[in-house]
Amino acid sequence: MSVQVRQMVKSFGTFRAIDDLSVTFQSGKISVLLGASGCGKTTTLRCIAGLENPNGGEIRIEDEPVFSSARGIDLPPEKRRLGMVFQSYAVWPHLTVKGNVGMPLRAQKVPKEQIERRVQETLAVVGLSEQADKSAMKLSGGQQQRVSIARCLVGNPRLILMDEPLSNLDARLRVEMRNEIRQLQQRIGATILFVTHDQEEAMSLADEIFLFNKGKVEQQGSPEDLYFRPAVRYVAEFLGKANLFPVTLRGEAGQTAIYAAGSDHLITKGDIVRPRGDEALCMIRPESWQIGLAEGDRVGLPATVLEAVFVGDRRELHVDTPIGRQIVVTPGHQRFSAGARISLTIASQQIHLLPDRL
Amino acid sequence: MDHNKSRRRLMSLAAAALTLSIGLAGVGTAHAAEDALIAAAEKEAELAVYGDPFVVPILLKNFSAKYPKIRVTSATGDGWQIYNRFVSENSSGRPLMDVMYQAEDTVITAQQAGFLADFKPTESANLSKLAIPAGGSYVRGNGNLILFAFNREALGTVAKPADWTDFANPPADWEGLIATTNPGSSSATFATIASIYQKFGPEKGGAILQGLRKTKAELNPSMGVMATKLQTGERPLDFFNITTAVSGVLAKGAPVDLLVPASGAVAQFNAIGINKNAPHPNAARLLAEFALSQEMQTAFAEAGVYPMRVGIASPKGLPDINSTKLIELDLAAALKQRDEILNWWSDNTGFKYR
Amino acid sequence: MSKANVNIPDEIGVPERSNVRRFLSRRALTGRLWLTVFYLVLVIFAVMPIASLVIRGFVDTEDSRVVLTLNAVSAVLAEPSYWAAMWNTVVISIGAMLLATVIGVILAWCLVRTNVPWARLLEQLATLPIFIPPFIGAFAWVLIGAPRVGLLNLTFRGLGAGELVDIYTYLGIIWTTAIYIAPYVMMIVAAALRNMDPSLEEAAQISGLNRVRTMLLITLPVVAPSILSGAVLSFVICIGLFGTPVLLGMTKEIYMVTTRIYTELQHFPPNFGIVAVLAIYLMVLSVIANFLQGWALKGRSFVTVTGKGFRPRIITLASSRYLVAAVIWLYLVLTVIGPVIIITAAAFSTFTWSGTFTWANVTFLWTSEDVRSTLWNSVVITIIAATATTVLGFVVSWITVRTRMAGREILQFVVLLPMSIPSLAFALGVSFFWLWMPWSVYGTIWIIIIGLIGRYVSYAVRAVTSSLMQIHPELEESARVSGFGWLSTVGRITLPLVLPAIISSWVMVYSIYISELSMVLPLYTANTRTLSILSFDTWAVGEFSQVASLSLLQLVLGAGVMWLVTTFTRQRHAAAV
Repeated sequence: MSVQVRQMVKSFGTFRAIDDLSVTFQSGKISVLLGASGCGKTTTLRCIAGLENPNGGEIRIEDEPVFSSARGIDLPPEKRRLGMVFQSYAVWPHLTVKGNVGMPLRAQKVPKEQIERRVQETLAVVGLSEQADKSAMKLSGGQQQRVSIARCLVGNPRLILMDEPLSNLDARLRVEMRNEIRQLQQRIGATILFVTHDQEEAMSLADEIFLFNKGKVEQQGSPEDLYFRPAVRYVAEFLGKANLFPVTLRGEAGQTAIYAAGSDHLITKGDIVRPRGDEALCMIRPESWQIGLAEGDRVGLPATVLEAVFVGDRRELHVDTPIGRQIVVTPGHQRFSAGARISLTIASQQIHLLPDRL
Repeated sequence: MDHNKSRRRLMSLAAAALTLSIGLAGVGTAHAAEDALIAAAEKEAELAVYGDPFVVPILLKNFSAKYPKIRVTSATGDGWQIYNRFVSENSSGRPLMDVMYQAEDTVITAQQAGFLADFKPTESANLSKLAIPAGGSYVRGNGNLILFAFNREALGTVAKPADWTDFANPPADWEGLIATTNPGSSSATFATIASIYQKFGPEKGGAILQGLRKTKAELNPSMGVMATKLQTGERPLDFFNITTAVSGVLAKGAPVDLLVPASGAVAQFNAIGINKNAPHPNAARLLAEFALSQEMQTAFAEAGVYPMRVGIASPKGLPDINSTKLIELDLAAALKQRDEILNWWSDNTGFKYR
Repeated sequence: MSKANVNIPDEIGVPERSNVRRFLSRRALTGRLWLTVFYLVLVIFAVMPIASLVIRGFVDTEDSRVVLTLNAVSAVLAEPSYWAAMWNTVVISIGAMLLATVIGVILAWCLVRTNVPWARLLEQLATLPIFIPPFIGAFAWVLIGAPRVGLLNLTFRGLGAGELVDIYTYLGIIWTTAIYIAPYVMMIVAAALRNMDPSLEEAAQISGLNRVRTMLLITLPVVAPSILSGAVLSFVICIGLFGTPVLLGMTKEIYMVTTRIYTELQHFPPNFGIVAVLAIYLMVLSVIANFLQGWALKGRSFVTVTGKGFRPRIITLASSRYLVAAVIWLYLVLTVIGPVIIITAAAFSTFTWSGTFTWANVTFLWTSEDVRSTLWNSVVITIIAATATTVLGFVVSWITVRTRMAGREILQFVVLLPMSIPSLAFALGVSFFWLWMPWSVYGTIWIIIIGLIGRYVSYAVRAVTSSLMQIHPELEESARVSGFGWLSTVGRITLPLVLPAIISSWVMVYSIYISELSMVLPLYTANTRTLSILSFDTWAVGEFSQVASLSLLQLVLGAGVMWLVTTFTRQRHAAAV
């Protein structure tokens, strides 16, 4: 019970949007397809929907092949039994709210009275019962979004696809809708594939994130996995802010010392999961640095504050250190001014090492 | 006595009956042939006529009234334009035209090119001698006269022409008043220019044409357009115009006068040609016969068109064709010299014929 | 960003590897099959006539062999009168283009951007000359501006001013043509002015420019591409015009290329090679015009076409607004109201200007068998052709806007090709082509319909495309995902949404078709005469009053039906919202 994509290829002219992609999305979960624009996430979603024709490969929904180049299968979108929410909401302007939401049921040739009932039920779920007879164009953006979600839910689709559905909403509404989608999914246990380029949205919604890059999945995993344990540099840099610098590893397993590459600056030591070899890339999240004064033999990295940016709940410091510029985040109430000399320390568990070359 | 009387009466009655029945039989066979043609034509149910924009509509109106079961359609325009259309259709294997009813020169050309079927009217005995030209193997359906035309009100005190030669030395106040047409596209114009050419010769005739240039005459697209300008007074003096174009204007009571030039008017004829590949050969023949019938020829005369049948007078208000002085025209000869005549016209008038 | 056309910059792409087999499902194959069919239809309708024309200009039959020859070309090049016709065409077209552009821009600006009273009504009235066919417009102007007897000259003479107007001159032809074309420029520029972001002008005024300089330095340059495209459209229409130069030019031997083609067809023996070369002349002229437009607009985007409806900034004129309105009314009287009244008067006169009136010319409209049959032909041809054009236009724009099918750019190009080719030239190509083809389309109404579709389908494509582009593809995709097939999606979603564009495109081509003369002229046969041909023939035989009443009929059929359709649909549209 899942959505499986096998060896899928999709090109536009000479540009390869999806490059031999194989991935499985779990049922009953929210899978977020995340990536920069042009990474292939939307194309993947549209191929699953049947709105694009892959050049090759196979797509199965709940074990039913909906596309297979080997077997010559290519179900048109209307035969795939899906629901989809579009970035533009795609609310049909010439129909009422009810007309919009009832459309998938009319396509299924559901009897009229049943349509009426199910549309009302679904509108109640998204909180639009009052607006049922209004023209769709008279609704606000958020309401149109709900119409679009109701339309997607009403036919009990086996799979719901969402293509950046929140990107046209303002910031507050976006957070609100994000929570509603999360709650809705938990209530009905739907399988949702959700495309976004917004990492915060991805992390707050996803059961599992699939980070796309150049037509492939760079890494998949829970939001925590991707944030704290990125497999490659691209992931580390894409999600949140990361301080990345090359390091040299010394000592044995269980007690590894990490030195900044080409210098004797000890960053930290401890029980660290280390990649193969002695050279690695070290990732430290800005909020992981501890700020203090260099005292005695405690490992500390001397640093000078170059700039301190106040962002409300936190303060972003750009500091100069012997190992290069670092970004450090502290709570907003701690004041620092440019030129202040500080010392940075890091706990060994807060360090993540990546293979050097990636 | 009484006996004899009654016997004679009986005999004469029998004789009368005999003559009547013989006569009836004769009429009967003629009728039978005509009925068969009508039946065949009505079975074809359609007929396409190309030709003269003035006369064809009159002809078809009467024909349709008599034979409502035959749907008649037409394309009309200047003779050569229609002729070109006919030729390009026929030569690409799509003959659409059944009957060509237009200026003689185009019909002669079509016949010489082998495009036409033979047509011998059944009633040739009743046709005037103008109807069947000497040596011609075609029939003329109607005649027209080409003569001087002017708007008497618009012209006012300006002198009117009396003869063709008056144009050789035009009065100064004719400037900007005269209109003429193009012999390259208009058959009637060609007939007239050819008549002048034959009658007066290239020199004297050329002087007449040069008069047009002196008076800044205007070259009109058609005789009809010229008639319109005659009527409105925009160009109140035509070098010449044709009776079919002017009779409509006259009938409406416009202040237009026609005048036969002293040296003679030009007679111009529309001839009947049946397409050899006519899609509706019977309807075509029926129309050709109908055109020459007493009924149609009478209708022509009433509509200002000269009939080709003996016993029907020229149209009211127009000069009698039989007593009008006409310029003798050898059209066949003129057609052979067509390019020469057209160039002569061009050289003298300054107009381009093409 | 449009999701249907995922435009991903190439530099972040991975180059295509050729060893992956490209999979084509049956679904995609069926799509390609349909596309191929459309290609064929469009190629036959739109391209073959042009190709035939070009071929006809360069081949001839010698001893029943077809040979390639430059005879026709050299004959045309050697003959000064053809050069004169070319010169006249260029001079008159450029003159009419300039005049139409000036009139159109001024009208658009006054009506869209100032507080002239009754601007809406004036704008609607100002579009009306489009619905007065050029032949009829020229006819009216003969009555108004002919020497000696034109109404203006009669008036001037009565005032002792002598004869001031002569319509049979270059200026006369330019004026008559320009007032017919000006509405096109006005509509294009008005749309641009409406779509122009008012903040562009506000920014200029904040920067210290006064109103006049704002208009000259900001507004005009911003809408310049629209002005230019209006001007080029005027030029292309003008070089292909037939009715005006026939009525006004021929008597003074001001031949244009179109009238030369016409006279060429009237002569014996005809030289179709020369006719074809003359038609190619027109083609080359319009290609040059379009090329120049493309060159001038290179690197300039149509910033004004946003599709967003802005509320235009209205410039408040004080009492001068009544003066402006009066000038516009005077213009309308000259171009619309006057000609219509004069044609009406002529239609009811026994003859022009007899001063006595009669119903005869009007009763002729319903008693004449010719009127009945040609009217029937006109209506049938127009309705079939307008409908087919719109349907085909919809399909083509749907394919080009909505699919990524290979070759859709070619499709668009193919459709746009005949747009710049004058009707008379195009119709000749159509007749050449179909006379060569084994199927007997020649002689039926279908050849006229095919010709009209091929020549004008781009109008429908343009109208529908701009509307379709504003409809987000996700509206259709969501219907597909909701369970509707391709056809139901088009029927339930796309069509209702582009309906206004479809109706306006239908009305537009209808109004062109119902009065089309030069397209029909080479294609009609006895069986398929149209009303426009009848009025042309009637003019040629000098039945002036009947021409006037036929013109009235054509005006009613054109402007009247358009008015009916738009009112009806507007009401229905209003009811639906």
